[in-house]
Amino acid sequence: MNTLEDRIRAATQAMAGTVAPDSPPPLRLPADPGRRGAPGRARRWAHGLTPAAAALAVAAVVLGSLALQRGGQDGPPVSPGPLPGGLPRYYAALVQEPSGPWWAEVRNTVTGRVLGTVRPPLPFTRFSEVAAAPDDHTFVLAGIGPQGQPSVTQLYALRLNPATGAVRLSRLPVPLIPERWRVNGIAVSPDGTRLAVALEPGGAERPRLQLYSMTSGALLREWGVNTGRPGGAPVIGFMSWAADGRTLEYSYPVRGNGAALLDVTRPGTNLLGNSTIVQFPKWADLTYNLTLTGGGRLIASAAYITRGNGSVTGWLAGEFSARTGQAVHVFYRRAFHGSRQSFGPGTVWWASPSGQVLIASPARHGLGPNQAYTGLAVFTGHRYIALPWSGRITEAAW
Amino acid sequence: MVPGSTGADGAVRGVADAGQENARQAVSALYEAHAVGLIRLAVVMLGDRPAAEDVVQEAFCGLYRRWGQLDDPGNAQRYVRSAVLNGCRSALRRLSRESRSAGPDGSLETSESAEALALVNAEHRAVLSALQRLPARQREALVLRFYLDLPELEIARSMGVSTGTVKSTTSRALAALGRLVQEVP
Repeated sequence: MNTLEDRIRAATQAMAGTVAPDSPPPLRLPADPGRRGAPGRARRWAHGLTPAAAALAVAAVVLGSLALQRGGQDGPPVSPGPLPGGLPRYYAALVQEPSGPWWAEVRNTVTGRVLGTVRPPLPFTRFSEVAAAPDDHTFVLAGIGPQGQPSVTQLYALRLNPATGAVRLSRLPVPLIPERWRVNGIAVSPDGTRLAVALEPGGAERPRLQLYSMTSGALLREWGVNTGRPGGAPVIGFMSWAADGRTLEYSYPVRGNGAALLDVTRPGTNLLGNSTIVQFPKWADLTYNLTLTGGGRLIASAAYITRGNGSVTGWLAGEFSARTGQAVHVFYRRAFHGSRQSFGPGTVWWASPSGQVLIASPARHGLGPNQAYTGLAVFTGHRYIALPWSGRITEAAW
Repeated sequence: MVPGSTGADGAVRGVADAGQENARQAVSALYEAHAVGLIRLAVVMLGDRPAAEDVVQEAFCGLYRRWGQLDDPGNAQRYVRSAVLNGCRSALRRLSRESRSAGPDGSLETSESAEALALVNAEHRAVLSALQRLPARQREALVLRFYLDLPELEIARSMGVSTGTVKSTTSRALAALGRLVQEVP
């Protein structure tokens, strides 16, 4: 039996194959580049687009164009006002220039200033994951290499000396992750002593979650997924610790629209058996960069607001109950109007312990390459306060 | 000199005309090289050939309009792919609104998509029908990963999310698709 991934590949290739190589219609460019629309193009109302709907669509396209002409400044309304206290001072970001080298930067949260830069030591060629320790100036990086496959993974600590501004990269004593495993997420415990590592198998094995000592590198605990087809099980993704250091949230969508909470103190090696599944409402399509707040009672996230048929009507940033999955607090909410959707939830990078303050990046949709995020912002009390940001950043950790 | 214009105006217009002609040629060449692949991508996303062709036409028209604003014409292919994916999202929202009265499950199937699906075998049809029932973002993540075989970074840039979100969205989409495939008769 082929894996689901193989079936998707085969089915999408078959669907694509229904378009014959010599069958595209001729390109009809407007005589005047400033004019919208393709001249002489036969409008096809037949597939359900009524003239009224078409007029709305055109209006939406024009709005989208205006947004572009403003130099990509379209985004959520910015609320002026002071930043809330308690924000982490620094963050680490993974950066790649197009077709260029990879490196990691330590930046000041409020000013965006780059305080230090490190490249992966050879033979490692890029950093694939980053996590922040609770001390605000230590980060963990996963370096992979050598170039090409198969690649092994080495975990590093990146430390900023706040007094001198110097950054230093050093190997963690955690053993090298062999080539048949890919590190798919890392998270440092709230006391800074343990590192959770999510591993995706490259072959016919099942995902694993491991817990290492940050100081000795010893493997403290390991959990495996004992259900699902080998090689076809969903991967474990983003992880977040509760403040008590006992609960680890991880994205493993065994029941669709939910998250899993692992009690790391319970005996046993069955990942799902030791986990509680939180089911979110059907209308909330969470971005899955979930952060445990309120001592582990709440889950902060951004979410698309969807209808039953999958259409998206808006988005929000807020908190959901870790017990019932229901929305508890909404910090920011925005409706999409018509077919315009110039930005939406990207990633909630950090949440305050109370959940009242989020650092998040709304995402810009489809306006071209290298515009992954509209920026960085603090969401608090229904306000959106923009922070400096770089479009070159691919991952970040606070 | 052009009657009624200064020499400088005429020169500027000449440069503008030459630039416009260069843009037309460059965009036409790109269309020649990539139209089939992009229509295929849009068909996989939308399951609807006419809508896919419209999306690709509009993406190239958009590229033509903004040719002078491109930082690097070498990025044009990526730009137009992003524009196609953006057009697919808009088309999906439109189609989903129109389908609210079409079926109790809110599926996006139109007569054109049914026609396209009829061209593939039953096994593929089951997977494609399930794919069309996923939320647009999940569908996009699966198509970019398993149809285009894009690396996570490229998918993240196309979708405007972090690579972590790409991983989790893909994972979630796979789980949902697995369930839907079992439900499809």
